[in-house]
Amino acid sequence: MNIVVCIKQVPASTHVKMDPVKHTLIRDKAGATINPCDLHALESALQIRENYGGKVTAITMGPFQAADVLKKAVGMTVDDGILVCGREFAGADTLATSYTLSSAIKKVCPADLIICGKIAVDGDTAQVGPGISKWLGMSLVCNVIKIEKIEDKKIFVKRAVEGGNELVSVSLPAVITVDKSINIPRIESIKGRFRELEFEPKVVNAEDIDCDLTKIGLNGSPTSVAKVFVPERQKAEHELIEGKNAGEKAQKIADFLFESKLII
Amino acid sequence: MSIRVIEEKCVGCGLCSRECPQSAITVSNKKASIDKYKCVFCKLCVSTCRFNAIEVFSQRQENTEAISEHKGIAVYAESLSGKFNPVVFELLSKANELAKTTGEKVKAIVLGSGFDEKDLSLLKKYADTIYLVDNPFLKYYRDDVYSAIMAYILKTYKPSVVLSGSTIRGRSFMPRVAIELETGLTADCISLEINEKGNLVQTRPAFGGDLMASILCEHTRPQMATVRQGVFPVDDSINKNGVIEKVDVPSELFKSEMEVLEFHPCFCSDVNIADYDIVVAGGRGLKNEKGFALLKQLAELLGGCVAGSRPACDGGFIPHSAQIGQTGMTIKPKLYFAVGISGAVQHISGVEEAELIIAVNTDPNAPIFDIADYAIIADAFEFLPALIEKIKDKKFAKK
Repeated sequence: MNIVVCIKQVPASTHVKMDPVKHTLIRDKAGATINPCDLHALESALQIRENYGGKVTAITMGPFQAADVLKKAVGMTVDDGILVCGREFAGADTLATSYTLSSAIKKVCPADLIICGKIAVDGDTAQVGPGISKWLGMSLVCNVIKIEKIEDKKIFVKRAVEGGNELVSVSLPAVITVDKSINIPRIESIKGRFRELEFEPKVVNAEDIDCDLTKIGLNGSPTSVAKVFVPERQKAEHELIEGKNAGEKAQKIADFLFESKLII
Repeated sequence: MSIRVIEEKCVGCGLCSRECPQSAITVSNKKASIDKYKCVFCKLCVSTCRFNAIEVFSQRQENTEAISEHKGIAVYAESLSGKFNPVVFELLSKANELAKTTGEKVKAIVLGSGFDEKDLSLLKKYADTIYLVDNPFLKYYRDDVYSAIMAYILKTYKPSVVLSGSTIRGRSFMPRVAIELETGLTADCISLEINEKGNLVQTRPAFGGDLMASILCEHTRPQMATVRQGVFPVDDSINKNGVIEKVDVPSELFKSEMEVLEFHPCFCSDVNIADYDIVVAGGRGLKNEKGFALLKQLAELLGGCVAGSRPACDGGFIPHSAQIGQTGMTIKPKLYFAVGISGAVQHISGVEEAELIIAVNTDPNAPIFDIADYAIIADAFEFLPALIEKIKDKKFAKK
């Protein structure tokens, strides 16, 4: 059983603020981290390995620094890490990213099961996981909240759907995207920490993964950003409710709610 | 597309470098240079540069013929047991507005089973054509089958724009459709308009919602976007008389690798916070279960429902289906009562259109007060019990 987990390095804080005087952007220099949902994807893969055996490989696309998230995965006892890296991948939207990752998986670490976090906190699209399933012609289950079992080349999972949850089975190979509620990711052990320090991921570029150069990076991205702007927000003139203590303030609000017929 | 610094024009002032949200620009020897790996082509530097020294240029050939044969604004009309998701009518209203600008027709795409005349009659008001695939196999949602059929319909009827609700289902199968058609898909748009070139300008939050990005899909069709419920209003004045066209789908597309074995309805998610006039929401400031129990009491007295900010939902105090904000719901209630919510931009974007906002927070500088009508600086654990008591007193006195 070969399990591949797709992970992403994201800014530790996605906040960007506008300096009200200079009108320049103030970046939060909090550094980078692994996308929170991806920790749950890694944990799911490790639990499957514990129950059914096999090998877990983490893969990411990004600059050299993104190797850090692979190291983190290895620290959690993932067997191997692959970094898809190269300038030719830059500027990729979800179509190009999912193509690149699927090409790399096909060539470097063929998978029976691919696990992705449900969504990345920076891009907030949740499109790459489903995209990979289509490029590789695999089955797809999104928003998985529980993995029940793997049997007869099928995986049985519970997924969240509108109005409830469903137990479904899909044939392997398959892509699943997992919800945060699926598990509690393990904390790295001391041993894991040592593994992490020693680990160097395998780095592959466009040539290594045999991909169509017109489908990667900016050239392979149908969407483009026309402009970025600061959303205008009108500051409301609010009325400050004053009072000696919470009780007095509460009285004023209670009176107001009755007067304005919000409580009948 | 690519980006470059025109060295003759660049004076090395560094304005672009300070502006770049990706830290992709460095200045050395009085010339700026852009790290193309870090650059996400947001073009903020282009508009910032006072010397027009940065340009973005396209290397792509426009396939105008393929683009011009795509016509019509299509909406995926998502349904559950024959009932359409409320977001469908919001999207169809927006589609009608866009269609007016482009002079195109509005199409609704319905996949499911067991629809009757009554179910579909409401859709007819909003669309010129309803493409219907009514098949018992579609009773359960299967990603592979839904995406294959949707792609087939889009290839056959070639609409120029496709909109879907940013629902669990829309978010999971639309990306597969976009990949089969090798076109762009923009998630969670908050504004859609047609520009002078006839392209769809899809605006969505970026950089954690602090900035907005307008996204184009100029060279491929259809232009696909998902939108959350509550973003666009329903236009009741639309009164079309659409025709239903039953689509003949090749039988091999009904083959699935997925089996749906059990369905467990979850009653907690039956509460749709967008349906309530009064929403009482709690955040990090409510700290623990006791805080949220107080909130629930208040909601009951007000006849409203309980919702939460992302920290409250991540903390497990409020179900994720009742999360307000960029990664949750966008709501427009008559009264929004925010307790212990600081008001991060992501949260505010989900609630700023409430008619009336009352906010309680210990921090006088909390951003939530920027959008509040009434501000109460108090500790929730003192204020809430007092308010609950006063309301009870008054209700009781009345009777």
